[in-house]
Amino acid sequence: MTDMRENEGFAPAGASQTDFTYPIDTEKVDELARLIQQDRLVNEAMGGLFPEGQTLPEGGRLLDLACGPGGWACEVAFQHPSVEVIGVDISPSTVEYAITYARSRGLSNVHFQVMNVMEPLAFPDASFDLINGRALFSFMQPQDWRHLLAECRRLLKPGGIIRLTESEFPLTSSPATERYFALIAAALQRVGQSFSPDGRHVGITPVLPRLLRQAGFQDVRLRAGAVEWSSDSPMHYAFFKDLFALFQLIKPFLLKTGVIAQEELEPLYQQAIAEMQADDFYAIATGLTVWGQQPHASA
Amino acid sequence: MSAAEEPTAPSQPASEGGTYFIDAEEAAELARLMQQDRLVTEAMGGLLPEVETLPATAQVLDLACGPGGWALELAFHYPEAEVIGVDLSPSIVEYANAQARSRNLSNAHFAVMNITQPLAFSDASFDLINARFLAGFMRPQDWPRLLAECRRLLKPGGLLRLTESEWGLTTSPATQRYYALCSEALKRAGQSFSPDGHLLGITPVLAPLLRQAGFNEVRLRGGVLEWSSGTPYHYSTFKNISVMFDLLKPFLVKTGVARAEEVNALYQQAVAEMQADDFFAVWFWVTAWGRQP
Repeated sequence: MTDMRENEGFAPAGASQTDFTYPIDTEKVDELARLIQQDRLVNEAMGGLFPEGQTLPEGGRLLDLACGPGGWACEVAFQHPSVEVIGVDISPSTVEYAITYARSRGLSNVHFQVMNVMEPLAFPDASFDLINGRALFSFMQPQDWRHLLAECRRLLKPGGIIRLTESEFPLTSSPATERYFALIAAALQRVGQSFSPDGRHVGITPVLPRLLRQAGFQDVRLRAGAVEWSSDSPMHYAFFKDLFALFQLIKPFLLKTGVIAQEELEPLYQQAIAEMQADDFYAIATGLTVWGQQPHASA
Repeated sequence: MSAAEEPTAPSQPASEGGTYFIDAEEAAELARLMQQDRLVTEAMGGLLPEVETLPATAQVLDLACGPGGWALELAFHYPEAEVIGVDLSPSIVEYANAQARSRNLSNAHFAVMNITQPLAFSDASFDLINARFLAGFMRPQDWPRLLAECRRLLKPGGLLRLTESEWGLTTSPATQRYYALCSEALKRAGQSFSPDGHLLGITPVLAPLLRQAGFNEVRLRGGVLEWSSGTPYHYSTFKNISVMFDLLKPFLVKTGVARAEEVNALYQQAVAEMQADDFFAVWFWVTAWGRQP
């Protein structure tokens, strides 16, 4: 596993090499720390756990796909003691962290398992009331979505809810930061993990509602979230820290995909970090939650 | 409000003084603006989704009001309020006033005014100032002046509410390329906040502009509309965007970002792709609002 990581420069996060589509080594402690913080950022940006107003049935079961360190799953479990939450993630160390975290909070209604969401999931049919997924774009290829959503159709009870939150990159006033995001977008396109026609965006947001409809979900709806993280705003430091880590951790991916040379990358990274800390740095992040309902009658 | 009955600002012809990048006098543009007005209000969740209470007798100003859709709706829903819309284009203002008359809305008035110039209203005369999608004609340096003018015009505790967006995001290569050309042209014309000319760049700076102007309790709210093929908003947004693209052709050629034949070919391609069955699109915007101290 260690050898493979060195050879590939990719995250050996799961069982087989074909799984390694996430551009960062998920076994790195920096990435784990980053994901723990990012969890909170997304909640803040989107306005809470279920800002769209879905209600969870008493005794209901929830599945969180690619749950990362389990922040969202644990918070849901904490706020809704009558429901059972299951989080799955491809990374054993992340799942281990999530289990420890849940235990430290004394939560007995949340569980975590190592599972690759791009493969069939080890749950029986119609076993969940709500399936949640956030930032799946970071490892999913366009063709993977259809399989995952079909699997969600199988796993949801009639009337159950699927709820996916994705985003494009943030938008800033920093030229180097914008260039860094453009490089990540281009690198994702080179490895086939992009819906963008020109490789300038992730391109997931325009297609997300249609993906749900095509999978047969009904009453598909959209909600946007926006949060400012300019220098003089309260969220600045949290976002800056997130990108400080992300930009560092994603360097091997950018080099491997050949979108930039090593000698250019380092100065660009330093420039982006400097510009994000300048007094006249302005930035916004937007997210899109799309949710839909499993049909009541078996289709 | 007496000030509105005697607008003294020069009715500046769009062709001379205006920086709006398409000729506002064109009938197609008027039709597009009317449609856009209705769509956006609906998709934003109403007239004032962020504002819990507006005083019943509020004095309201709508900047660059276009054909007056938002202002007229507000006047209808708040019959004791007085709503004033100002716009650079005399024909649009005339149209809006005719609409107000035909709907018997005596509490809605429209005046020709250039909002990049001082506005002909007295200090502290409004409870709410609203503006949507000014980025199409404002240069970065125009914003601080306009916001200072809003500070002057708002009563203590009054609200300023700004809604702006970047371009939409679609799966059509030609549409994305056309957006990119528009961004580049705006950058060349000095009408962009974008560091790389890729987008308009207005959304990251909107809340900071409000704070820098001295507004308090500045907040932000995002909105989104899907206009993929087969969705309820597809046709109207497609019409909206294709008319806008058509009217922007001279601007793209004038700023030198593309030759006329390239622009025409790209336009045809974008229009075709936007009508394809596998066309997916979303359009995000943000509303930032803040309170006068």
